[in-house]
Amino acid sequence: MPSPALTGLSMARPLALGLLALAVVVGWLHYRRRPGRRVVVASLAPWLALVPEAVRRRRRIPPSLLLALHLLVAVLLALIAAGPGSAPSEEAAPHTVVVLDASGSMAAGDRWRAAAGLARGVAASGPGPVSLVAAGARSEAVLVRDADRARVERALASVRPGDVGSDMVGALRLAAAIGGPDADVYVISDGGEAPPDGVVPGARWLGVGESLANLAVVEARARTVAGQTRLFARVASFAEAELQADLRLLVDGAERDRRRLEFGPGEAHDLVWSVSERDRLAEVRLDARDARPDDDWAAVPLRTAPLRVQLVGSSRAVARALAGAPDTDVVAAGTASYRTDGTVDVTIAVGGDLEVWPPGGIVLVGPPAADALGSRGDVGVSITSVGDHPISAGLELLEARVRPTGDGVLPAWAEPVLEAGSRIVAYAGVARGTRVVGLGFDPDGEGIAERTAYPVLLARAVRWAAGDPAAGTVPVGTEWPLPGPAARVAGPDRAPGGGLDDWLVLRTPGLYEIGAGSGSDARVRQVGARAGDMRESDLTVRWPPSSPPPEAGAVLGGGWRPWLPLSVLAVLLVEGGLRAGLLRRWGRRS
Amino acid sequence: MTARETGEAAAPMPFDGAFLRRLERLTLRTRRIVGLTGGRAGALRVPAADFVDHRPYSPGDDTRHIDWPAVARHDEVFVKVGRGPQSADVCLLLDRSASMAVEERKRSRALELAAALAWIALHAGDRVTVVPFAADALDVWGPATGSGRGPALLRHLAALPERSATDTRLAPAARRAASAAPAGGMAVVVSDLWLADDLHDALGALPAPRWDVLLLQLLDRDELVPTLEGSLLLEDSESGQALDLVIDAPLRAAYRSALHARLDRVRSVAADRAARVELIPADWPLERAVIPYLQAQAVLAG
Repeated sequence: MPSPALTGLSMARPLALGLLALAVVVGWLHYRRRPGRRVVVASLAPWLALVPEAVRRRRRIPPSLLLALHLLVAVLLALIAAGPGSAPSEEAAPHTVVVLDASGSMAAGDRWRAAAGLARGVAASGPGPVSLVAAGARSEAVLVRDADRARVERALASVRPGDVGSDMVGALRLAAAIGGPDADVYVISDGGEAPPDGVVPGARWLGVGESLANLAVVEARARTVAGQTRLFARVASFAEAELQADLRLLVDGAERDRRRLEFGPGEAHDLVWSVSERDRLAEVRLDARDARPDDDWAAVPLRTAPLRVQLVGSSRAVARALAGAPDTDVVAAGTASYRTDGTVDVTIAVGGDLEVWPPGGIVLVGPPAADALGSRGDVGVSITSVGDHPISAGLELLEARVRPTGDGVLPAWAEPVLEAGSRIVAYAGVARGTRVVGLGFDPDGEGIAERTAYPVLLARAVRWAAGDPAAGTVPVGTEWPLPGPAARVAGPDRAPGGGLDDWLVLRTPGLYEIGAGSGSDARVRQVGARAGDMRESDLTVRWPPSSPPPEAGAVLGGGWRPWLPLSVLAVLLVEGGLRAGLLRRWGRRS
Repeated sequence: MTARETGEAAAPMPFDGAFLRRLERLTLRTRRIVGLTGGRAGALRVPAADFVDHRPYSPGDDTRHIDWPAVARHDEVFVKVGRGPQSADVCLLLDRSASMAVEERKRSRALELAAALAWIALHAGDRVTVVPFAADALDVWGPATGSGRGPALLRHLAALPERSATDTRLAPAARRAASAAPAGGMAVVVSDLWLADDLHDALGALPAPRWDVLLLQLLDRDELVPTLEGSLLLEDSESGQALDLVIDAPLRAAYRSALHARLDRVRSVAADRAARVELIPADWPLERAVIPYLQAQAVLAG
């Protein structure tokens, strides 16, 4: 292990190299300098004969105390420049990676300011380049190996806390990939999660913040059943003491309800309101005046336009099942003429795959042999539900006999929904950013379509593929797929605009409107982003705050570096003394 | 000899009377003798009272020197012959350039040496001319004869100023000395011979056998064995040329080699002109070292 006095010392720094070159200049100046003593001789004749020899000998730097002092000054200055804190050399200095927890809990109190200060201090104390990884709902490398302190500051300022959840494992893996085995990794967090072990051995965890009491709206959703829309909200306390707070319900901007809630330690309240079919937007607001005001409210869209579903291919069973689906408009489309402009919410492909996947959700009914479910199998296998998937939960299909149309292999990105024997006959998942449901059996055979459960199954599949926007609010940090490049977005953190990427990250609590199409085909979807969450709203710190990061002087043991400038001064004083007094005495000796 | 004895003002040179009397017992040994006057015991056999030898009588000989007992013993008239008193022209060329004044010791030793040799020559009855020189011949003293001119000579030498010249030249002084003694004589050059590029030409102005030239090369100890050390700017005392050197032990050793090579060249040039060179360290005491050395080298007799 290198000596603490030498840690961070690198003569490869440009300034240090330049000052070492100064030593060469000093030697040349001494070589060129006029001698200090003039001596009159009777004749130069014998000396002139020795000039060639003398010139050769003059090439040697005459040893002198002044030369030694000047060289010492140049070396001392080079050592000062070689120490940490001076101009860093990207090639020689260690790489510092800062992982910053950007989850919502970091927005509480002064945690974020403390975290930013810690990150700034770590970046400044490191002698080399700095990388910055933000650990929000997804990890993101904000800055990679940059020694420019201004850019480090700008990168730090661009990170904002607020996401629900922190992909700390992903952030650490990203930090390890960026920094390599020799990088110094610092993780700055409020301890909302236990530090994952072993991902980056040697990573230093720096905690910020103290435990705080908090109230939050952790859930808010609307559900329309049989024409009746009900608004549901859960409000929770994350405190060890009893708390009180006023809660208001605003519908379309008007206060519809106000009540005072009493919370015991860690208690939650579930609230339900009925709203009319004319109500469009509800806001649940908690007057908590706590450390996190952003999780004290939620905006819930109450009404959305009917789901627009395009049916590609022909199936009587599917058509009949969709006819009875509530809030669903079905349009027929051919395999070569189906819409891809983002004006449909779900595309149902019957008997075949789609050459181009359109924006929105996809439901594959009886996919062909090329699909994972596409090979023919046994006839008359009973279907059973698998787990509690929202599509199949509670459906009675045990007596249905189906002809599986696939080989029963589950795609890696999907989870099983229905089984027939040992074969997976229905799955659901997100592939390439698109919600996909696969129903791997022929609905037109064996009368499955007449079963009551089939329309419900199909309707659920359609709703699930559509993302079920009316189901409630989504956590801040959710990535929302956009309906094509012509999508228009308006939200609390952006003005309406187009030309967007495929995905929109909902970073700010509030109501987002995502539009596509024009004229009669125009569709606008409202999505409520919510900051409250059972994990993020809990502001309990699970490890003590860290000590400040080491200062540059402490890295060198706080020993000799501060004395370097004093040494330079002492050398210069000695030289001054020599010139003033001692030198004259030494001159007479020669 | 005190100022009262000589009747002249006291000599400003650091010579006391006893030293001067000791000098008077010395003579400059020269091969070139002219004239039948002077206190020099010449080699010429002339009729004289101090018997050295006989020779047959020649018409015109002084009859007082006829050796009558010898005539009685022989049937021929013989005269006694002895060493007739002779004199020499002695020219002292004294280097007064700046290089001779870099070190006081060297400057004073040159003056003392020239003064001593001049005193010796004057006392020996030689005709003395002193030619100080730098870039050219300076104020010439003499020619003069007689020991009574000694104090004046000493005063003159003591009052000689240094001349800062960028180009010390010996040849003009040599020509000046030659003109002072057209018949030739002895020329003694007291110089460090650093800027003696014209040594060959100078010696040509004093050709042998007419002239007997003695070069007394006076060098300070630091010029012979320098002790300079370190990074120095050496400046020539005459030309002002500067040389930036880092002097260390190896370079000093190289200097000594170069010096010896230069001394050898001077000797070679002198030998070509039948001149003699004697190296005199300026730190040698005049009476205890320089004069005995010159006696040993047969420059001085006595």
